[in-house]
Amino acid sequence: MLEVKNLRKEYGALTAVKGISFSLRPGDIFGFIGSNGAGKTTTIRMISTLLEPTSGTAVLNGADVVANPMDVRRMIGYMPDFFGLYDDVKVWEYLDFFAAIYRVPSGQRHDIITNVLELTDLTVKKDAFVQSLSRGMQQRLCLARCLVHDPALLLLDEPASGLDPRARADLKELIAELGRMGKIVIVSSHILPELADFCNCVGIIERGELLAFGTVDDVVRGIQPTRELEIRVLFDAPNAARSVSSMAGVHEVRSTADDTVRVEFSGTLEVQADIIDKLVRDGYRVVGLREQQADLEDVFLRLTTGAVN
Amino acid sequence: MAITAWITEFRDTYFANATSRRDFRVQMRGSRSAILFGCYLSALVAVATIYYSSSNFGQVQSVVEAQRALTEFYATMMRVLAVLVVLITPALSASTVAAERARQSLDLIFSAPVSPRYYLVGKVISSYRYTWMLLVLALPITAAAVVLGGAAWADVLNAYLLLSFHALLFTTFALLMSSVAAKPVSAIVWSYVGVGFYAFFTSMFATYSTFTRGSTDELPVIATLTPFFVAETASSYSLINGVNVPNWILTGLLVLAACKFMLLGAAVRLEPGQPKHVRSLRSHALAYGFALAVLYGFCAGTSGLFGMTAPNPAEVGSNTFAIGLVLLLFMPGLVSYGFDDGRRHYPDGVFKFRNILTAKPSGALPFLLTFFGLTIVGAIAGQSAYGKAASPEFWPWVVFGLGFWTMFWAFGRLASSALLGVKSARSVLTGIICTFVLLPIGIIPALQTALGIVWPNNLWMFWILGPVTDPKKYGVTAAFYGAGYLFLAILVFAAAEASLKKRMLVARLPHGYSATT
Repeated sequence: MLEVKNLRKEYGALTAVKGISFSLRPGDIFGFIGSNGAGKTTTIRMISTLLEPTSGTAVLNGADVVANPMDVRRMIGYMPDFFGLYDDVKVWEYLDFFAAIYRVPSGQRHDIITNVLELTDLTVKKDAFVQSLSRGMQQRLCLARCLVHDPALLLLDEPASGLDPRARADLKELIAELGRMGKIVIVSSHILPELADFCNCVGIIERGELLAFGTVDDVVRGIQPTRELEIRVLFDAPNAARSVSSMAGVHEVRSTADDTVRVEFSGTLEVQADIIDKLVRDGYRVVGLREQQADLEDVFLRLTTGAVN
Repeated sequence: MAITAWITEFRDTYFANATSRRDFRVQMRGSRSAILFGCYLSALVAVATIYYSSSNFGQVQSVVEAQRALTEFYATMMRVLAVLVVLITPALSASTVAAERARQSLDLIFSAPVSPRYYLVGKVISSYRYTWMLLVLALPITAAAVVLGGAAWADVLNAYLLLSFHALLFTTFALLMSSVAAKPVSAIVWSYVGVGFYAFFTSMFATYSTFTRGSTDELPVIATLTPFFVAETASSYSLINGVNVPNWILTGLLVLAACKFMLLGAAVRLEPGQPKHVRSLRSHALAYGFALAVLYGFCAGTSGLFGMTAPNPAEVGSNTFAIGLVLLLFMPGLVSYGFDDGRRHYPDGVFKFRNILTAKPSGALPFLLTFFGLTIVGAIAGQSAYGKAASPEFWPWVVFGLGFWTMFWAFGRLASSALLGVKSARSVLTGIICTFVLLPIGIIPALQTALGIVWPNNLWMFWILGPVTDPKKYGVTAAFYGAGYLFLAILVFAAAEASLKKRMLVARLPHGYSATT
């Protein structure tokens, strides 16, 4: 369980993070969204104990990042937005080094490295030098490094930057798998559609303030309290629009073309079903149906102004 | 339980250190090391052969002459080794931490449960082990000197010990520079500058002590602090309270203390958010200052450890003050504050004794005065242990020191208040210290020569450390200098406070001076 409470970071007159709070449970994959300079990396670095918060706390499974940094470090895997790899070592030596500094007993290291390489699909590169790996493989090696001590929390800062579509898909799958393994994963990214695919909660940060936090649906609903349904009928769309305009929960109805009706309503799927039922009962031939829902990108653009600290 | 944890931590840090293992693996990989060792041995053999053949051993008739020539051969070989130690050790460790910082792998290491001590000890072990390998490789060549009769095995062993102490000192110093510098190149340059200065100054003292000693092996310990005379000083000892203490033991202790202090400094740089490192560094500084002063006070009446004739009381006072002069190197870091580097360096008041072991600006003056006070107490305690009491000539130097340190503290406050950034303030204070303390050392003699002024009727009295140049002559005048500095400190401090309040107002800082005091 990770609990972040009023976390704040000041650099003189500049406040990089303005008292953000959220909590995550095991298995949560949290997408941390924000422009460059919004405060994502600062927040992640504070949680990873690399940066001392000006005030506030972050507690991971009972260990505070300020009071017990060593305990926190044992439970986290931090992957920054740069690789920081040693070029002159082999893949297994690199992982062995990090397993050793995480105090993994030497007798267990071989098996752990084998498992982690398998998980990240790097087994064939076990004896290759790090410098010979492609960017995607280096990214996976970084992730493998974060996993050698079986952390409870993974902090992944822009993990998909610079990767080709195939490598991105692999990484996405891997992160989802880590979530299924019960780890808390915090992923910061600019690529919003990707986050929506595998994150079960998101947070939007701008100028150090957490503007929204919750499941993707909650956040979308937060900015868009009503839903919009686009219904295609065979003929007489204006009359079809009139027939549903007085229904309970319907806010606005308009016919955009001869065969299309747009209905803005609030409520559950029950209301949606009632609207379609009414049209069919009134004799209109419904041939198509599409819900117009805002996505994460719409939410992000709606909530943020693009301003930075 | 705590003991078991300590033993485990000790074993992991010193015997199973992952950092040193990784570095060793990389150092020994491929043919690079074999080529380096080959070149190194070839160079040593070449020097030995050239020297041996140019010494005309075959033509030497007298046994005494032959013995002298062989001793000289041994000393030359040890000097060549010393040069290699001076050249190689900084290169081995100066870029290590800075390179990790440049590679951005330092964050990865410190996001793991790794303490700076674990990491730095690992780095020291990997560099030092390599230096030892080079020393051991040279053993056959120095052994030749023993076989030929130029030295005894005990001399070689002691000389190797001394060389290894110097190697450890240079390794640690280079590591400190590597932790401080932003770029590997700067770390290498500063390491060589520091090691060069050290080698130059200690060699000056050693030359004087070693070659004026006559036939005795009793030498001041400072003679063994240079790597270039290990052959001559390896068997030397210091007479302390009637006991002959081998100088290699004293050198070893001094080097270990200095290394620990430098590693603490490096730890502060590596993990700036952790107050425990600052606390440890400052408490070590206070303890070392006190210990040095006790040692000095104890030896002040003898010709023992420092190789001096018994100084007069004014000189004791002046030298006690001078013990603390090394603090000038750390003054910019100690007293500067600013608003661009987190709240750690925000101005939080003027004088708070409880912050003496923290990096907070309000702890700077208490720390400086406590350090100075401890050296005074230490020197008096040391003297009294030898049966001497502090004389009236000693006390003007207390006033002098009080004024000196307060004045530079006030300059630091002014520099910090006039500028918003702690880094800029540090640079300005460094400039002030160089201008007033170091620059005159070059300018005054030049002026004297130009004006035809001959020592002692000189311009040194205008120097900020003027009284230190001739303590006996200045006597009570030193107190007037100190009072003057104190007065200047008050004026500068008042200006600094006025400037600070104005700055706070203009910058509209959220956590102001008054809020945190």
